[in-house]
Amino acid sequence: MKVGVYLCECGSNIAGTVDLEKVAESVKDLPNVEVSRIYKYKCSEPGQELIKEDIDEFNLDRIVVAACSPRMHEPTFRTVLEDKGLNPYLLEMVNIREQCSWVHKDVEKGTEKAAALVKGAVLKSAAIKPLGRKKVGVTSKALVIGGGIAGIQAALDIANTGYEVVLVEKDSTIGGKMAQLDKTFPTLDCSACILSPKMVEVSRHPNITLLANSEVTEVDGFIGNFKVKIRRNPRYVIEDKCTLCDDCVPVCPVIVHHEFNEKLAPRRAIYISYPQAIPASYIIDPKTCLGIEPLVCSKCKDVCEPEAIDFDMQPEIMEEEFGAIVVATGFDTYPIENLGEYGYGSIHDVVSGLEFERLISAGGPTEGVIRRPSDGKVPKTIVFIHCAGSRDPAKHLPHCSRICCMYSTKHALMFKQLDPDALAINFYIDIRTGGKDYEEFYQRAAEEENVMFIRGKVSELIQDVDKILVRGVNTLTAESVELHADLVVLATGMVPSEGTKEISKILKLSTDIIGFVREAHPKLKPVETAITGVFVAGTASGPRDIPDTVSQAGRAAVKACNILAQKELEVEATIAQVDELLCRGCGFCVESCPYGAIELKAIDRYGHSYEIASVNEAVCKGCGSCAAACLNGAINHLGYTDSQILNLIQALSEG
Amino acid sequence: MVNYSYFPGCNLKTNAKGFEKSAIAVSKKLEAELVEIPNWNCCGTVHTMTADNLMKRIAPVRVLARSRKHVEELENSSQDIVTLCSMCNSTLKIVNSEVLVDPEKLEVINFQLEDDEETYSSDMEVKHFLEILRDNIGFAKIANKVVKPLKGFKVTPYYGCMLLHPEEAKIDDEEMPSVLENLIESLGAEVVFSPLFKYCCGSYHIVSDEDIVTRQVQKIIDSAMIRGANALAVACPLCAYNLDQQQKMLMEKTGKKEAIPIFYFSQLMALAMGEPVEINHFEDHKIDPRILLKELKFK
Repeated sequence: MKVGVYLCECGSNIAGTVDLEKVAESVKDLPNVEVSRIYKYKCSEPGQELIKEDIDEFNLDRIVVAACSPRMHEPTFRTVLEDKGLNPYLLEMVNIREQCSWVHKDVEKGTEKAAALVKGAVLKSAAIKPLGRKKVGVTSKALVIGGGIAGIQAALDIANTGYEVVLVEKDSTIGGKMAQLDKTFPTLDCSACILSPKMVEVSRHPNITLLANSEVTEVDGFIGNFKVKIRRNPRYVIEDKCTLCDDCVPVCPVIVHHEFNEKLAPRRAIYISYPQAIPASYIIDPKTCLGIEPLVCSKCKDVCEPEAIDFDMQPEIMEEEFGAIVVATGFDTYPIENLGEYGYGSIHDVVSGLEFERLISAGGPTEGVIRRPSDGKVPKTIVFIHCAGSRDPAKHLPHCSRICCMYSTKHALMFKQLDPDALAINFYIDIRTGGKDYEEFYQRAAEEENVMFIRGKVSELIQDVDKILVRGVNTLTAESVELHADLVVLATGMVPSEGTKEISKILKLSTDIIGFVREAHPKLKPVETAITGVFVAGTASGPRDIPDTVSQAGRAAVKACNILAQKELEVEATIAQVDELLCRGCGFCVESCPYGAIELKAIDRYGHSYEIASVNEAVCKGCGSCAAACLNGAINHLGYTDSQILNLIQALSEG
Repeated sequence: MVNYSYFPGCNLKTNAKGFEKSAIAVSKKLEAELVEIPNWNCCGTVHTMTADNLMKRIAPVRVLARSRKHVEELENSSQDIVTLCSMCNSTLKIVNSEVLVDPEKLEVINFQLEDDEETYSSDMEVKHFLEILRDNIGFAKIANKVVKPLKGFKVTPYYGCMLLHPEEAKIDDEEMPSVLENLIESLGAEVVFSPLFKYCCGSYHIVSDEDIVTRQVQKIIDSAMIRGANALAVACPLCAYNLDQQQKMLMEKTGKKEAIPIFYFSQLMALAMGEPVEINHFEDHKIDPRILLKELKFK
């Protein structure tokens, strides 16, 4: 056995705190060490070449690289070994940057620690063994969960690459929150006009199967081979037969709030969410319809000429396999019912931003004329309160939702354009216009369209006869402000949707404290999740605007295609391995595994049937929980076996 | 019968005598008697709000320590110290939670109290009488004890600031409280909601700039009267003083004819439970509530 030790200066990143000459000196006399070298940037091409030359010259069969975190360059150096015909797992990376030089200041102590870490790796390398990577097959079909703009874009991008996609949406139509918007900032183009062509494309695309009114209920399996159960809720209207004639609606006796219009308008029990809805078909809401068990009314069925209505439809459970999953389950807005200082949602003329969006939309309940919910009057003074329930860690959401400054400015500007004599007043904490052309949009609103901006928070809203008394502060003049408004719009922020929370549980995705899906890396793996093969797009992982959502969906689609394009996948070799002779089948490891990668299986031993642990190599992440939990020491974590770790500990304890 | 260690505070013995007497009377009727702490001292009032000087916390901690001793002597008592004045309640609650989370502070304060053998061990809970009524007695039991329902009383609950602020001292939801509303309804009176239910009464400006208080009081009273209220229910002696006395001032200065009486919530309870009207000390009020009682033929 011959070990080569390579110490990286990483410019001054490591050399600034660690005296590498001393470290090199200290490893020289360790057992098996043939050569030890210092280099400025080991990851550079000449740095790699140096290792290759030494492998040839000294016949090295173990390589120790002391540099940055293995998360950065382990793959680089493993390739070096592979190029020279060595098993890539004969490499030992020592992190002397993130875990040493970056966190210490004292050169002497830093050097001492680095030397100890390198010594540990050298001794451990004596016990490491070559490992082989396993291969698994891939189902080249993708599942996209959520049919908002993120899901639509991801589905289209995957389908256009040539792979089959199943798009699951729990609502009656795709389109999501974007379909509810009137205009989009900063260009003020009509939201439905830019969204509906994409929706139509989804419905016509030969590679896309759209399952609206459906939910994902169970996910099993692993990258390349997810087994998914999808529940198709009955629509009670046969999509292909429905001609959208609208004859069924006037005869329906049930009137309820219409969710698409933020409950500002009524709908019947049989309805279509909005004219451009996809699938283009009516639907019956079984919670309010009087025709579904017991059948006491069938007025719609009586008038339906194409005989599209079927009260006997039953839920169906579909089972399908997928190679990759994109989660695009989106957001909800923070409920104004939580905002006590603004009346807990009890003041009629205090509305949320999304409600205002419906009020100002030509397709909304007031056909684009802004009317107050209380008395239908057209308001002359509207107050827009930014950060309503946002950036308030003491009582509400701690985060900034990134879109509220812009959408409030948009609302105010659109209101002023409808009525130039009216008063549009924004109360803000800061104006955040971090997007292309956003600042210009704000400037235009403030300077050309005479939208008023007051820097300060509104402390309370009080119903005062038929107006709303707004009490706040102007923090630039240090004056308190009191004024009467006809309508108040609360710019509420984003929270994860119920669907996002549910799917995180089903897929075992890790989430942040608010419930947004956590990315595998906040900067470099923004659409990857803790589960390989599952990607996240759009607002399911945090607040973002439409342009960011669309580009993120594109990236998620590419990452999904990366998997679908492969016939088989290599999986990491540093995983758990069960010693079948030692295992007594207690099942502790099954419980300890956060990824569901271990199960008990029956084997035949000396003519008796025993249950022992079995690791699914494609699912195992190599976290080591099972190895720690195993009472018999029957589970070894390959690459970190007990003998290897003991060598390491011995080296460190010798100091 | 439960006995509560009760801390009166200065106002209850001077210009809010009716508040104390009516509260003690109804507490007996509800089998939750308020028993005064012997030898109590000032709660410390606004001085305890200074952040930099622990000296100012000695008074409230001594109160807590004496109440603790008092609780040990009382029969069938709980670890609660009960207040009527919302300022005392706020002060004692804030200091009690402060020494609970920071034992070092308590140690420093206790050092000053050692000589008198009055050290405190932060195991009391400070409660406002309204909390006892709501959480320990319940409005159903209160309604049961009503013998003269307050028919015709249209009462606006007025909370002021100290019952609802700050976070560690509040007795109810600070944005939309309900304890006074529920209490008033259980007495058979009608609740008239006014959005100015916690609008500042002007507070201590009464000693330096009376005009500020006058302006505030006018808004609060107008808001209640526009909505048809004929009475205001309060829990704070300073609110009561400002609202009562400034209405008289307004009548004298502006020739305003109408005014509405200010009741402590316990006075309304005493009336409804048939206690003798004298215990309410209505003669101390500038706007005499007895006129309203007469108008409503309440006997």
